[in-house]
Amino acid sequence: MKVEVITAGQGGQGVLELANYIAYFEIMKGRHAAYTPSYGPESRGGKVKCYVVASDEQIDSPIVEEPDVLIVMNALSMDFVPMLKAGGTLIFNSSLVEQGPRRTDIKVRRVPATALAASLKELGPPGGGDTSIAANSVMFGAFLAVAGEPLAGQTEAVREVLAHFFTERKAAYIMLNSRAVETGYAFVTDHPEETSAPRELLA
Amino acid sequence: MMDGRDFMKGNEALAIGALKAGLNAYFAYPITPSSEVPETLAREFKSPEYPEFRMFLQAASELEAISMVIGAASTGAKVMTATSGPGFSLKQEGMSYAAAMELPFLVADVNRAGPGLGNLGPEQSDYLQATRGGGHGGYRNIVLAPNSVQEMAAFPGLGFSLAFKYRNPVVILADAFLGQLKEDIVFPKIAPERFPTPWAASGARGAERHVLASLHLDFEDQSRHAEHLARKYEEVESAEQRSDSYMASDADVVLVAYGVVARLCRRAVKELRERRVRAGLFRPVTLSPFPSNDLKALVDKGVKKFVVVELNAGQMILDVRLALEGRGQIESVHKMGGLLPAASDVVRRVEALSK
Repeated sequence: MKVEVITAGQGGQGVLELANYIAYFEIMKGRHAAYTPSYGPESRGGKVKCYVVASDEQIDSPIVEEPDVLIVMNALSMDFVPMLKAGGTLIFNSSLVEQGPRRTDIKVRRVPATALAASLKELGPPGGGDTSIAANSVMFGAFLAVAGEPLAGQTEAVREVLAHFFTERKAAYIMLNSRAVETGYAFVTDHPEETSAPRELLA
Repeated sequence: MMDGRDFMKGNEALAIGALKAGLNAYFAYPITPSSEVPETLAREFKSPEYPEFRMFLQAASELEAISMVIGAASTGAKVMTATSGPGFSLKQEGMSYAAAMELPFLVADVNRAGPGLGNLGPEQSDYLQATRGGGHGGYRNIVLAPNSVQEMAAFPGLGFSLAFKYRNPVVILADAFLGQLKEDIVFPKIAPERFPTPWAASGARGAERHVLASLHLDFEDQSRHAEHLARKYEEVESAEQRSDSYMASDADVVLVAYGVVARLCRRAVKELRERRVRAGLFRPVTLSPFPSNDLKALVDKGVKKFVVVELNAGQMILDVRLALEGRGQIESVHKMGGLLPAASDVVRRVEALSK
């Protein structure tokens, strides 16, 4: 088993963290994983992409040329769609991306990640606050659903992944993010996948 | 991780690997893309896990950092610093002095694109500077080229043992990609090696006087010293060549690559084999000494074509030519500016060549 993933978005959307969750989850499943962030001198506001390769065997190249799964967090990052392997899956943040892909040889999952994360207000900081920052965790859940990982019985594993990255003061956000993972997972499970050109192109 | 694996960046693994190898002192002058090395070591300073790690000092410049390295290494301590291109250049004067003084220590160069300030992406353009001894005077560094986070973790230990065995600076030549790459790794559970240092300036009261200097004003004296160094480099050359190969022994065409490029070439070899091209991979692990003997052995086995893939305009290819002494056809594939060639590009080039 080998899976190659690209996560893409803009700085501040947690694109690198999302890739970290995926890589760490795969390692916890006993696989090998390689994670390569690539970013310019700006750590926020620019285009951010990250490669993840996970495999049962030793990983040859950590470089992803034709991802099986592409997760796009913002409109600008739809530029990566041509890289996706034929038959691969595009998961995109439909809260921020209006125009779907033109390719017809890929599977498409539109997930309103920012809106779903924002709806988890009650788990945000006391006194209310924006929880849309957890959109990346929604996408982690969407990825797990697309990868066919049964979420039942994995709650602990997901929590362990989050606990690895949310340490010290940030530990307060584990609850929000694990709920965000479940929300993304449920959304993908409840909505059928699109295999042809999206509706607006056919209309 | 419950199964004993860690998940970390190459730069972090280099730092922890050095601590596990018994690092005593680190002299820092951070520069992207190597900065996680001092960051990690600053975080681990005073950790009860590493009681031998007794000094972490942030210098005011690279020149100061390498001079501190010289001072600390003179006492026989295990010392390291890390940098990238522009900083590596600044350290060259110190490395020349250290080579003359025969001081053992580690310098990691996390190669970024150049020349000049270049950018923060990966390149292998410091190859000649690192392998030839980038400072003045005739000296050689021992240069190790890791290709994974696991090797980033392991090579400080190997580096210290070579540095102390030959009393010579060792360069760990990585690149921006390897520094930032995160992989699952296992730190071997071994006790740090102890090295005898009868030459060291211990500073102990009543101890024998040891002078560590690079100045030999007397011509005969300097001549003897230069010959001594030359003999040492010959000994390193004959005893310490290290390489790895993959499907190379029955190959028609062999890719020659080091570092992260060797990883993508391994993938290219698999794809080429699927397309019925008998391809193989030769990976130098030591860049200095260059593993000429193992490479030459491939020609003796009948390999006729070599494709050198590197992130510079053709530097290691010079060593490949020297090693093969005119035998075999040698081609170059390269990429620069912080970009890597795609494995599919390498496959196409090799396929075209083997027709």
